[in-house]
This record gives sequence, structure tokens and C-alpha cells, in this order.
Amino acid sequence: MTIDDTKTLHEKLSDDKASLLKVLRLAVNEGELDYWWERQNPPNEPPEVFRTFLKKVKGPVEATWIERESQAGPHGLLGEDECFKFEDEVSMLGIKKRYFIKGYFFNKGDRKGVCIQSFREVLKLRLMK
Amino acid sequence: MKIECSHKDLKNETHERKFQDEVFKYKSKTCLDCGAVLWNEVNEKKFNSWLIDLYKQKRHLFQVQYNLSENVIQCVDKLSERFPWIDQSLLIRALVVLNLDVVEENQEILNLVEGHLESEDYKHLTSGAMIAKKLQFKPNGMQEILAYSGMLKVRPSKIIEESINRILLLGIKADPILKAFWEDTIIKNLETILKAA
Repeated sequence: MTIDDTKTLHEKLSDDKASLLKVLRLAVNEGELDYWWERQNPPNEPPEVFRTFLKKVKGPVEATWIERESQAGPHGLLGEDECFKFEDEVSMLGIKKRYFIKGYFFNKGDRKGVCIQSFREVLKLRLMK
Repeated sequence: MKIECSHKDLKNETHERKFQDEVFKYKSKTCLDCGAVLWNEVNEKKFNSWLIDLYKQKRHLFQVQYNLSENVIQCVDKLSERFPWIDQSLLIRALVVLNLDVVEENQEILNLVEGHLESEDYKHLTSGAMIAKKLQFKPNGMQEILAYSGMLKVRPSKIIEESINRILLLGIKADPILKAFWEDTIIKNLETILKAA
């Protein structure tokens, strides 16, 4: 048994020493994932593509933290006040893809998951602007 | 429409998620501003359970048809001789997984592999008559192949073909680093995976 095994999910997801990428992976694999998709113009990628991105991205990711606008949604009121957002890329079979990711952790004071509001390919996003 | 939306105005609506040509219907919160739909753990569990039922009824939907050159098939046949107790489709699946999860994660090896993609050896390996094959997946394996396919915007068959061609290159090149990686990592992992299967 490792020290990590004795920690609660909230303790693991709130570990200041862990990278955002590690915490995100833990939140998705051990906690809850709320994922917004099916949006058009620009489209959010399907949830399985997000999971694959999270598995493959090497990091470290450099996120910007911004104040969260909406309190709607299942975790809107209980979610943390700040959203993270960052861009990063993955490369597989010689093909590179760069994505924009935005989301926030929930619940405030008892982290048990992550809500992903945006996960989009950067190229498509730029073409929309 | 805004580039970013924080999904403020929501309504419960019924939606459809397609798998091949089959339709999974689910109810979920929908953003009235941008049309985004919430996919959560409840939907994920229902969808996975629906996929398992679909697999029991229509196994052919979890098959991928792919093409390999006759030279690649010969290499696979030769490799199969080292694992005579297993079905060749299991070997193909294991090679795909090892390419995506091991070779693609090792930057030094990946650079060497990609450096040989224009070589005569690779051209020889992938040339000649193409032979069509089918690979059966279980629901989770099929979802993983479809996720790679969705991410790279290529057909699922391309993930299999490219993975097999690339990983076999490790075994045929005279490069000592690739040779050592093939024997010490790929073959050892194959032994572990195939013995456990």
C-alpha cells in the first residue's frame, strides 16, 4: 500500500504538489467526469477523445486560472469558483493535434470530480474566430 | 455564437449518440445558448451497458476490416511461430496496443521509427499485394480504436494498419537500438500479454 492509497479522493485531488495533469487524470479515472459536448460551431470533441487526449498528453500543462461565470449545471453551485484553461498537443502515428481545454473541479472544499466545459481542436477554434 | 460558453441556461432534452449505425438515446441537460449537452457518469454507464448488449446481439459491429501487405502478413506469420498457442487475431490486437501504448510513448524509439518510414525496408515491408483481414474487438477495445480514429480523423482500419506496419519495422531493422527494443521490450511484453490471455 502506498501513501496515496490511504488518502481520500479529495486529498488526492487537492494535493498542491501534484501537477494539474495528474489531478485531472485522477479526477477523470477515480472521480466523476461531467463533460459538455455536442456543441456546434466550434464543436467540442466527443468524451472518448478527451479521455484519449488525457492519456496521451505529456505535459507539463501551463494553465491559466479565471473566475467561473456560470453557476448553472449539476455542479454549478457546488463547483469551485475558478476555471482552468490551457492548450496542449498530442502526437500519434505521426499526426499532431492541438486542443483547448477549459473546466473546473467540484465540489468546492470536497473535490470529487471535474467538469469539462470546452475541449476543442485549436485549429478549428482559430478558423472560427 | 460565442466562442466560449459557460452553459448558463439549461433544459432537459433527449439526445442520440450513434455507434456505427445504431442509436443510443439518452436524456441530459442541454445548453439553450450553444446547444452543448452534458455527458456524465450516469450516461456513460448506461451507454457502456447498451454497448455490451449490442455486442451480444450484433458482434459484427465490433469488427474492423483492415488491409496488410503480403510482406507484413509474412512477418506476422513468422512472429506467430514464437507464440504457437494463440490465435493470430490476439497477436494483432496485442501489437496494436503495444505500438500505441509503448512505442508511441518512447520518444527515442519513436524518432528512430519515424526516421525509417522513408527507408527501402519500410517500402518493401508495406508493398506488394494487399490482403484484407477482419479484427474482432470487445466493446471497450472497439471504443478505444474509435477514440483514436476520432482524434486523428482517420478510419479505424488505419490505426490498425499503421500500428502493425510501424511496430514490425522494429523487428526487421538492423539498427541495434531498435533490435534491442524489439527483443527486450516488445517481445517480452507480448509474452506477458499473450500468456495472460
